[in-house]
Amino acid sequence: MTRWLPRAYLVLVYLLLYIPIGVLVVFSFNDSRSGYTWGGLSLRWYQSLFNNNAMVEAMWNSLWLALSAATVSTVIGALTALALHRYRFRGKKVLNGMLFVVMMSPEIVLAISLLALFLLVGIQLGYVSLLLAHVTFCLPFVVITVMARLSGFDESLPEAARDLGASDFTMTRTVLIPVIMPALLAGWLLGFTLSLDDVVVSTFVSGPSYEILPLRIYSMVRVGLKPEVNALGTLLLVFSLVMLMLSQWILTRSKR
Amino acid sequence: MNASAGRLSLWLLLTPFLLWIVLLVLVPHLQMLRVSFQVRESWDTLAWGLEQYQNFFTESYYWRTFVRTGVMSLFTTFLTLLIAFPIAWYIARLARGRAKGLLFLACLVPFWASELVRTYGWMILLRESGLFSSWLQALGWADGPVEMLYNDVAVIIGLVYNGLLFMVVPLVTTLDGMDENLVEAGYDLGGNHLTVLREVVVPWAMPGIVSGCIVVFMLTLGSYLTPILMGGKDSAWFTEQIFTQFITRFNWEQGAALGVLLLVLSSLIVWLGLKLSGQSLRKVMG
Repeated sequence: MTRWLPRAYLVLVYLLLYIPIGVLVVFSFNDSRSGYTWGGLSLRWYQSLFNNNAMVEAMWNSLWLALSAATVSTVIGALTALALHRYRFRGKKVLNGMLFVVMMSPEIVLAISLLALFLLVGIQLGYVSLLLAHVTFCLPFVVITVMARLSGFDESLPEAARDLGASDFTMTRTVLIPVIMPALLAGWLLGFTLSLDDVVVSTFVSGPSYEILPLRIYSMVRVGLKPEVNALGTLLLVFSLVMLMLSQWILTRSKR
Repeated sequence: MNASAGRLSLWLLLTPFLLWIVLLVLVPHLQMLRVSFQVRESWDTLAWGLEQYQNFFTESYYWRTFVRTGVMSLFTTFLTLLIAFPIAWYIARLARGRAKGLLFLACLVPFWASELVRTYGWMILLRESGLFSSWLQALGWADGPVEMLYNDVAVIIGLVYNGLLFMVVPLVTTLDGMDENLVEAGYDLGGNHLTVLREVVVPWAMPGIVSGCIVVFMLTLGSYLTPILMGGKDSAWFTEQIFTQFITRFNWEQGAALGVLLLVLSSLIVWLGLKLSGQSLRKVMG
C-alpha cells in the first residue's frame, strides 16, 4: 500500500491541475456550442474571433501595451538591479523591502490608489494610465529576476576588464551586458506575460478609448460562457506558455 | 573609481526607480490614506474625520465580510498546505533524477496561464451545463443538471488551485535541503511516521511552510477574479466591496478606507502568524 498510495495521490493532484486547462483547450476546437458534447473538430470559434474587428483591435492594443510595459520596466529594472547589486548605501534594505511590499500587497489596493492619482493629476484613462500602472506591478518582478542573475556574477570580471585598460563604458558593453542579457530577456518576457494577463488593475485604470484583450474576455465571461472565450483563452494560454518557456530556456541555457 | 563618481553613477542608476516608487507607489498610497480620512458633508465640502473607519466597525456588513473573507482565506491556506505538502515531499525526497525536474516543471506549467484562464477552465467544468454535471447525469448519480458553481466550495476550489504553486515551491526548497539522516535518526529513536513528521520534518520545514502560507494567504485575501467569477454575485469577498464603493457607488472615501483596512489588517494577520510560529520575516523570505 505504501508504494502505490503516494503515486495515486500524485496522479490525482496532477490530473486536477491539468483538467481545467485541458478542457478549455479541447473545447475551443469543438464544433458544437455545448460545453459537454463533442460536435467534431472545428476552428469556427477562432474564425469568429478574427472576424470580429473590435476583438482584433483589442488584441493589438494588448500586445502593444505589454510590449511597451515590459520594455520600460526592464530598462528601469535593470538599472535598479545594477545599483542594488553593486553599491552599498543607506536605505538599501528599505528599497529591497519595498519591492516585496509592492509584490505582496493586494492588486486591488494598488489599482484604487493609482486610479485616484490619475484622476487627481488629470491623466486621461487610456494607454498612458495603463502603461504606468502595468510598469508599476511588473517592475518588482523584473528587478528580482535580474538581481537573482547578478548575484551569481563573478565580480572579478569587471575588475579584470578595468585592469586591462577598459573604460567603464567598454566594460559595461563587453562584460556586463553580455552577462546580464539573459536575465534582461527573462525579465522582459515575464513583464510581458504579467501585463498581457492582468485584469484587476486594468479594470480600474482603463478607459473606453483603449480596449484590451483580458478585459474583453473578462466581460464576456461575466455575461455568460461563450465558446469564443475558449478559443481566446487558448490563444492567451499558448502565448504565455511560449513566452515563459522561452524565458526559462534562455535562463537555463545561459547558466551552462 | 573614486567615491564621488561612484555616488554619481549610483544616483543615475537609481533615479528612475526612485521616481517610480515615489510617484507611483508612495504618493498614491498616501493619497489613498488621506482620502480615507475625509468625510463628505455635502456634494462639494469635505471635512476630516474617522467616519469611514467607524462605518467599518459599526456596519456589520463590512466587518462581517472581512471576517468571512479572512476565515475563508485561512481555511484555503491550510487546505493548500495539506494538499501541497505530500506533493512537495514526493518531489523533494522521493523523486530522483529526471523525474524530479519533470514533476516540478509539470507543477509549474498550469500557472503560466493567467488567473482568468485558469478560473474559466474551472467554470467550464463546474457549471450547470458543464462537464462534471453531465458526467454525474451519465453515471446516474443526478437526475438533472447540477449547478456546482456559485457557492463557497467552488470559490475555495478555485482559490486552492490558484495558490498551490506558491505553496509547493517554498516547501520543495526547504525539504530539498533536509538531511536524510535526520529522518532516519527519528525512526531509530523509536518514532513512528506521525512523531517523526511532527518532531523532525515539520520543524525543519517551518520556514518553507510559513513563507508558503504567507504568500498564499495574501494572494487569497486580496484576490478578486476567482471569488467573483466562481462565487457569483453573493460571494461577499472583501475586495468586491472595495470595487463596489469605488466604481459602482463612486464613494471614494469609503473605498479608500476599506483599501487601507485591507492592507493593515492583512499585514496584522501575517505578523501574528509569524509571532505564533516563532519565525521572522527575514528568515522566511530569505
